[in-house]
Amino acid sequence: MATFAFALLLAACVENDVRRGNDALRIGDYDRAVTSFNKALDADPAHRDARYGLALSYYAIAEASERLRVPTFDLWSQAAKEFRILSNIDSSGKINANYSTCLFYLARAALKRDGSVDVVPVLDQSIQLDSLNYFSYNLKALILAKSNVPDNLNTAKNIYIHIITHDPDFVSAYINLGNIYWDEGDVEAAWDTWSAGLQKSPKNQSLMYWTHVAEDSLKAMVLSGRL
Amino acid sequence: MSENSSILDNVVSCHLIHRGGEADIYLVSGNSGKFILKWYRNGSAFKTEIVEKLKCIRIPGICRIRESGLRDGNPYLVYDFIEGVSSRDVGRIPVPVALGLLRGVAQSLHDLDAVGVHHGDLNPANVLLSRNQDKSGFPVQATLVDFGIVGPGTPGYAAPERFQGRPASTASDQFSLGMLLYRWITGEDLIQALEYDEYQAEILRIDSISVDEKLYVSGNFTATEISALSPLWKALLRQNAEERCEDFDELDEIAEIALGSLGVGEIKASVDAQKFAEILECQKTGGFPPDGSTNGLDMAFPYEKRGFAPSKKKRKYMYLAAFGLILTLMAFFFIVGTNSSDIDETGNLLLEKSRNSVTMEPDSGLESQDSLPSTILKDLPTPSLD
Repeated sequence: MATFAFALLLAACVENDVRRGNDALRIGDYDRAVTSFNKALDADPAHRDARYGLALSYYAIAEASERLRVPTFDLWSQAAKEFRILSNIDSSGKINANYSTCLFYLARAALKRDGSVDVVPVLDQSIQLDSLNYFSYNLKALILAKSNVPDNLNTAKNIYIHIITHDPDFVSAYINLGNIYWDEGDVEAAWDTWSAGLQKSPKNQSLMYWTHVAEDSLKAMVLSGRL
Repeated sequence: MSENSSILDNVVSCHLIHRGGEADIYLVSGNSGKFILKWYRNGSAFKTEIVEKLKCIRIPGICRIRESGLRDGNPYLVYDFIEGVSSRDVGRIPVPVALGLLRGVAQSLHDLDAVGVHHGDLNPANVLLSRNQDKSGFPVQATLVDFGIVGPGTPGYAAPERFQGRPASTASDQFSLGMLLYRWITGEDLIQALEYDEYQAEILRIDSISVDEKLYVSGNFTATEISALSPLWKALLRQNAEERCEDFDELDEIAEIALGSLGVGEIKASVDAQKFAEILECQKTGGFPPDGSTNGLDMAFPYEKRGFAPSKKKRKYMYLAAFGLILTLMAFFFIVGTNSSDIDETGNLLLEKSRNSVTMEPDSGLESQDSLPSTILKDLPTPSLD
């Protein structure tokens, strides 16, 4: 009975720490959130909510640092590590979207730190976790397009088309697909893509600029008789 | 009765109504009704063979014994609860009524004789009076309680031979009945003494006591009444048991003659009995308290109820279990009641904030091209103005 009572008391304390951590996380007090979740995990390392809370806390810290444009690789690595541990505890799929986004951020931070690093496997894992994470698709396509390998370029184009088909509001895909067409000299296809993106996001500065450039190019080509 | 079906285990209230020398009397109530519990103390006990016989028979005027046995090491009896008045508390009873009661009790004792049972302790407290629900019978019902006494009986009512250690018999009950009749009509005991030995001495010289004279001196009785009652004293209050009535049938005949000798007529006798019954109806809280009359009485269980009042060891576990339950509830409310938000909900909020900020806010962390490292940005060719 005493053991049972002690276990109940301990469980109550752990839950209390998780509650405190969650409250701190919600109001942006990330350091206190990390402390509370760590305290709960000291008592119960396999506590799902405490582990998820800690992962989200590192996630929020890293995302806040992204806005400050400071190196974030270590922070995203820490968050990804917690998500990886969490995935061993929770196989419900509830955490997948956040874990997937964390891996996207981690891949991007890795590229910022070292442009030669191969982050495609990380992005593939991110996509596998959440097939609706078009940011990972987009970044993967950018990397493939950069490789200048013909097959990779076609794959990149297909990825962009996939993104635009499934999420027509994902503006970056229009820009990057138009870039590939433009790089290939297909100004008409580039203009088509950019102008389609501009219809979706009329105030996007990049699309406005490059649509205008493509129009001018098409006019010049008409005038020069090349079109 | 098996232990598992004991009336005592289903009792919800238990009130001490009388503390006697050998036993305490409780009024107990439960789902199956009200009963009287006689709880023996100080090593006292009842005659098992008599009690066992009484448990099997139903005789008008005999209080039914429902249960008997040993409980927590104490002998006990459970009687039916009789909503009436102890004849000890009614004062003087009109002679015609007393004779009617005497005949009723004699009939009950006669029926008991048939199964070999004698009361052994007839005294005013052991005769309960109540209104007879049977309209065709005598208006007042006398019910005998408290059978199976081990000792000689109540001093002042016990027959001389009972003081000599003889068992209860038809004759000893007849003697007690004679003393009882005297008490009923006078409101006093025929023999009044302070000590047991003194009682014994007086009882042994019963033949020399002139009851007629005592009645005459009291001035409360007419000559006719004294004369009518006289054969009864001679038939009942004899030192030698063999000089008493042959049986209760003979006693009934003598009592019937006495009633006739009173010269009041059957109607007058019936009216007196009706009036007495009405008085009893008003007084009937005097003996055993009926419903609602237990106010002021101490609630006290002399025994431990099985399955309800557990042993000390069980009680200890019950306390621990109760403590555990309270702790569980506290923890439950602590966990559930104070859990202001769900961590999954927080995760969804963070995700929504991250992903929605991409397309809506160009400066957000998830914008694709502008925030990509320069090493992977493509330098778009600038079209010639030509």
